[in-house]
Amino acid sequence: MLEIRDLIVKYKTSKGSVSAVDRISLEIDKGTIFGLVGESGSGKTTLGLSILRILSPNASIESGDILVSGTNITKLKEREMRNWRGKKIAMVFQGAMSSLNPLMTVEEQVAEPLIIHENMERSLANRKARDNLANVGLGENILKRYPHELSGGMKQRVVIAMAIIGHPELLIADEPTTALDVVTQHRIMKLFKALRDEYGITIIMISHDLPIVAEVANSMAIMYGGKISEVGNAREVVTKSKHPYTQGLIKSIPNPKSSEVIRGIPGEPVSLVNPSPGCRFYDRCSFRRDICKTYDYNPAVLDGQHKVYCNLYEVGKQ
Amino acid sequence: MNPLMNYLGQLRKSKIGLVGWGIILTFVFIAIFAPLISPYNPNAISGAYYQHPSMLHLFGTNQEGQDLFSQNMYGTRIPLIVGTTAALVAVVLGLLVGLFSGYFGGVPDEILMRITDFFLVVPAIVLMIVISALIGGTLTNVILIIGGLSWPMTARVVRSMVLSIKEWPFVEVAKSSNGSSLYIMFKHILPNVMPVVFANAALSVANAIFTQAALVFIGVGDVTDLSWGNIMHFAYINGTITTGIWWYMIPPGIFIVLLTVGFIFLSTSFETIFNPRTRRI
Amino acid sequence: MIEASDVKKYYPVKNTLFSRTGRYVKALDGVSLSIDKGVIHSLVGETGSGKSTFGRIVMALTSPTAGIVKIDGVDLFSLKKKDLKSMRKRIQIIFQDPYSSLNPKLKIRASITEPLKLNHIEYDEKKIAAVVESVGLKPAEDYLDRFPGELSGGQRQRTAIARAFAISPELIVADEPVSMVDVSIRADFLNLLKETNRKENLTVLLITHDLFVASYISDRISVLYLGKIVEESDKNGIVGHPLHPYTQALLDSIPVLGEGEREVNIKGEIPNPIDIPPGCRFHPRCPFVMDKCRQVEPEFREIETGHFVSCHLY
Repeated sequence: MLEIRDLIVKYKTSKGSVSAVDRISLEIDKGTIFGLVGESGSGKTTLGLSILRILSPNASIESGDILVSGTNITKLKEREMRNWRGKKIAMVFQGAMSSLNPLMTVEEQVAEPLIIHENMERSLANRKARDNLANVGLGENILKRYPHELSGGMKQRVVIAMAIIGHPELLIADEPTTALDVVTQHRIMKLFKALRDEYGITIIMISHDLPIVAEVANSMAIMYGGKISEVGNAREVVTKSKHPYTQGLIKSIPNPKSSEVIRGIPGEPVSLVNPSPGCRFYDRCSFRRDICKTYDYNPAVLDGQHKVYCNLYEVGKQ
Repeated sequence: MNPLMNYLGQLRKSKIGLVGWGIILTFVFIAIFAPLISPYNPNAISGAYYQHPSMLHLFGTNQEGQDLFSQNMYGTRIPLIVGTTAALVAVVLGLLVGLFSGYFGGVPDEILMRITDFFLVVPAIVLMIVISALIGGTLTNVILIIGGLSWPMTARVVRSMVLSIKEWPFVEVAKSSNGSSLYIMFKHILPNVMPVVFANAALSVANAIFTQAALVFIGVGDVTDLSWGNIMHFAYINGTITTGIWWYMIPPGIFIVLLTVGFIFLSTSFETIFNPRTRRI
Repeated sequence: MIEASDVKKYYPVKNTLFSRTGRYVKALDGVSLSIDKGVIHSLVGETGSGKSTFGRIVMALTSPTAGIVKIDGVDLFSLKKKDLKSMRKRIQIIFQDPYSSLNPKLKIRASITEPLKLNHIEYDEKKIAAVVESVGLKPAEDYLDRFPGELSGGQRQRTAIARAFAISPELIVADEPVSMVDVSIRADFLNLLKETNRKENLTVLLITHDLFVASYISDRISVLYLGKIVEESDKNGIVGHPLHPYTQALLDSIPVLGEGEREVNIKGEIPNPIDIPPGCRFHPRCPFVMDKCRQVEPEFREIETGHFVSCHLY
């Protein structure tokens, strides 16, 4: 469904060039949920934005390919790309639920883009809006409500309804559970599963919340410093984690069923301004070797889909 | 991160800011060196009356035969002085009123709001005309009148910012550390409204320059002080508009607009540079 | 250390500019809570449960509509200004959002020394450096002269925490202190709170929506629902065998790494605190609702030693 090959995305800033996405390769199967997990500044959102080609003006795809259903969208003209956005690929932006128009009812909110961009008749657009809202679990009783009359969870559903109205094959959701209560988070996750299972939508879920992603995703990638550190079947990545960063993340999450002391990862997230050639995680890694300082690793394939980008395994193999 | 260095650093990329500063500094230069730039004494009769612009008299001469170019050069001084000092008065008053009424709310706030409403309904210029007719339009009086009646705009903007800033957690933290109201107002809130105050101050200067010119033009104030408004006043009462003596009215008019635009550009540059939300990365 | 009895906070609902509707948002609707010295006590609830309002009342940043809050036996809201000042020397607050809890125009040094200066506590450069380094900002001189805008979110939250620790308070109110920082840094904060609690007998009121975070560091946990505490126990009681269906649902909602799907037994969403349901306030969402629940408000009773719940099931 989606294949990313050696993608490099850079931002130009006053401090220099920032490699937000640095030679990333990924494959995502049709009809699955793919989790993209990373902390702030890991490049996960930039990767999501590149797939839609809606990067900010100071960022650009330097090289690499993004193949969606076999079409290399990096080669498409902007005019052609416009036909892809919203129809084949759609996105739920981070914090989109707080940017709903406060003066429009839910129904208008969802129907308006159809009327404006597709020249659809109002009655038809409203019917489509109703159907889509029903698909995300919102009943007729909320159609005439305004955003301030909705809970956070309802607003997030409205935003998702707006994203899937063009029947996209691929839906990218950026931090869809952040700022929601735990009960609501669980329900939004169930909604994503339903969208996958009932409509066959492929979903990329971008999140900092490892446990939530691990539960809902089929496969996932852990990102750090613009690179992938570990990728594979979601369950395998968390139960048989190999990368020191993944292991560190897991150790820092409290689990009430164990009395183990949680531990943070020492140090601060790496700066992506003119990074050194070696492993991004070098400064914070407790298993680092001299080679990691300079050697830009290749993935070590463990079993099947599970790959880890770490010299510990690469070196051991040779 | 020093605000001044930050501003200067960003200014290089802001075309509008550079143009604004260029206009303003040019007029400041003219005001300071008017005696050197002007070929004649502006009050002396230096030729025949109503001469067309020529190499001898760049902007022609007026009904008395005074050199209009020299008059316009000297006439730069009063708009700049009145504009900046009146704006300073207005901004300091507005800042204080806005800070206090926004922070404390209640009765002072109500009073401020009614005053602002009053100024929204009654054009300030009418009041200014009445007051200067009563107390006399000396330079100082004009400054005080313009400054004293233009603060509500700044006050309102500052007040609305204070209303939102005072709800920020860092203000609550300071309160819970025993910070007094005055301390919080001046240490925490003031620095955060300053960017807007700067932008507002530049706008106030533009406003004051225009108001001063308008007052003098309609004959309020001391018509013997040389200023652009004053030149336009005499151009008008001598009926030059209908008699085709275009060179009398047009140059001071253009200068007023130019200088006003300069300060508006300056205001825009303050706003875009100090307010990160409007700034492009 | 803290004793709150029947604390209520109602906000009038304004309909138009001038008229009041006579209705109230009941942010807190009778909360009684006592926290012993040296205890880490968590107040857990969803958005709209009133948990942050309670924190602000304990900090005397807002006054309750009714009820009494005592700190070491002294009524916080009948204190004279001078006494409130000396009380505030002993309490500090940490807010959730590291972006808005530091003044962007003040250098880190100014933010950290502020509580010391305002409370006339003497300090020297060495003490400031020690405080800053204790939260992991090492070496201190790299950070002290920077502005918050030059720091990452994690570094800002460390600064906010260093500021709270600077005057060595006896009580810290931490309102969602880790919900906006990266997980890899989150653990450090929780461990730091725990360590200071153990070493210096610091009392902590932790306000959070995350029962896992609460269970990791707390001695006791209270679960707040629509302005009222529905269950309270030591952490094993809450996490090990929760009694209230709401606590159960909160626990089930959080995924455990490596475990499969869970069913969460709760209906609908938290109602608007203007219209609090009659009887048990949780009954419209409760999977075990009985007739009695719709009419009679359950008492808050001790079911097991130290384990209180207000539910008709018990």
